[in-house]
Amino acid sequence: MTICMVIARKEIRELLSNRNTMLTSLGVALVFAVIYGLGLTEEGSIGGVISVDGTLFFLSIMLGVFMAYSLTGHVFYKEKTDRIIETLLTSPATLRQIWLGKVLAVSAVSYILALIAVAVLLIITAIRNQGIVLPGGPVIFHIFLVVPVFIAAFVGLNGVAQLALGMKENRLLGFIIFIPLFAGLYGLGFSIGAVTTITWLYSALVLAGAWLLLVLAAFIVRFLSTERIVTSLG
Amino acid sequence: MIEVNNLTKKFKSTLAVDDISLKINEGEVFGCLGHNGAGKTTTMRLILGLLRPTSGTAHVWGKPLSQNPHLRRKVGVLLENDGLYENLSGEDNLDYYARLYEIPDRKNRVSSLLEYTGLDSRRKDKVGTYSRGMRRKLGLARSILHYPSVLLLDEPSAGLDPEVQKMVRDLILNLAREEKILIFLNSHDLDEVERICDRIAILQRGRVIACDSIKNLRSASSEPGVVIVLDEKENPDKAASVIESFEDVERINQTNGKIRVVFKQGKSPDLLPALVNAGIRVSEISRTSRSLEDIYLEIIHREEKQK
Repeated sequence: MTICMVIARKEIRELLSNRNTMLTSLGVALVFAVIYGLGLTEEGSIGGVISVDGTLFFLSIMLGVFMAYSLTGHVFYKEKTDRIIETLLTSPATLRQIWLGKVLAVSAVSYILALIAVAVLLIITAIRNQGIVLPGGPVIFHIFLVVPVFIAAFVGLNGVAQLALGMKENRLLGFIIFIPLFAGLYGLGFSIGAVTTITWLYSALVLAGAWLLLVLAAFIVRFLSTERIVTSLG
Repeated sequence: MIEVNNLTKKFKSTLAVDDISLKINEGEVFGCLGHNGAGKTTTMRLILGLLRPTSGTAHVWGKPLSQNPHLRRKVGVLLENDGLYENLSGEDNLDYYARLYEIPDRKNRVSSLLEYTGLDSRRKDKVGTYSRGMRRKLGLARSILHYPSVLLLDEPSAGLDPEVQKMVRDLILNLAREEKILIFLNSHDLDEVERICDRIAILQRGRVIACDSIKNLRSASSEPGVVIVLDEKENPDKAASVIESFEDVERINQTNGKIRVVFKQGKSPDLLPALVNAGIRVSEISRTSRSLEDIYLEIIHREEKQK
């Protein structure tokens, strides 16, 4: 097992063993899935069948980002406040391996929670329509290929920021970046999600954007130094 | 093994480490003493590659640890924080680090260290439920898990009860004597340092103001003299007047029936026959031996005066 995978495995185990965090995250995922599911209208329906494409498109990303934001704090920020990162930096693991291992772990757990929300939404829609409603090809592509990359990109950037910034700056970051981003995605999803037709172009554009952000995050890690992390510990 | 040359670290306008040079060899237990803020932890962080020197070098086996992850496999570290995850059990914590260091016989090594530190019965409990002493013991087990050749310990027994302190001390001595591990120890605990270190450096305001073996430091700073304990019924003033009659006596100090006599440099007058001839009953007479605390305080104060 590579060092990255050792770190990822440990982070996943630690996240799953934190019952409060996991129950809260699961609860949030279910609440949003139910709200969105019940909010679907007949306006976007095709032949009397409610279209779930737009809603799934936004919900999967929005919840993925929300979970990623909440779990990134447990994995990156907490390791700084507990000062454990200092010991980890004296191990054979490089800074990039530590970052990547953590990104993999948070992305995997966040993605699974987002998938659970998607499944719940599909179940609600099936009940309302008295039959299974499958999303279109671009949305399936989006859920299985775009969303994980988007989540990883978000975790990657947020993780770098949490490692590099001091404790106060990290708290500010949450308000400055996360709240507008989350509110924007939520608003878009709720207002136009149900009536928007998702095309292959939309999915491809989001995928390209996600990859770009992920590459950017990986590039920024180059400039992260152990000294910066150690001198910004709480 | 550890070689520090003209090491300097500045944080903005604060000079945390000022032109330190040290050389520590294999199998040596080296203690770093100093008040809070003297630069001990910063020096350790510089050696570990956690901080970049402003100037100078800090090498382990001739190379900086920051750029050599493979060398870090041979270095054990116990910092102020134990480096343990509260949500994982003691066993899982050690297992995680064992995987990171790619220890071949992982499970046996983890089990033997849990047994050695007396934590075997709590191996499945989350570290969050451990006492401070238990965490420190587990932290120490973590630091030696990968059979390091160099071990850096920052205040290893701070805040521990005497029993655990002894266990930590014995473990350090055992590692140094049996395994020939180089140990670099930062400590406030002068008693601990005196018991286990071969050599010490005293740091003040980021500078090394003394660096030698405890024996050499003691002989360099000690004043020659004796401590005389009189029989309970004896009058200390009478004994003092006999002692003061010797030309080679620099000064005397009386406390609770004990008379501490300081001789002039290079002199050693024979006081006992004179006291006996004067009819004074002496219970005990011994050469004065200064504790590390006395030496440390003297060096620190001397340096303060020179400033």
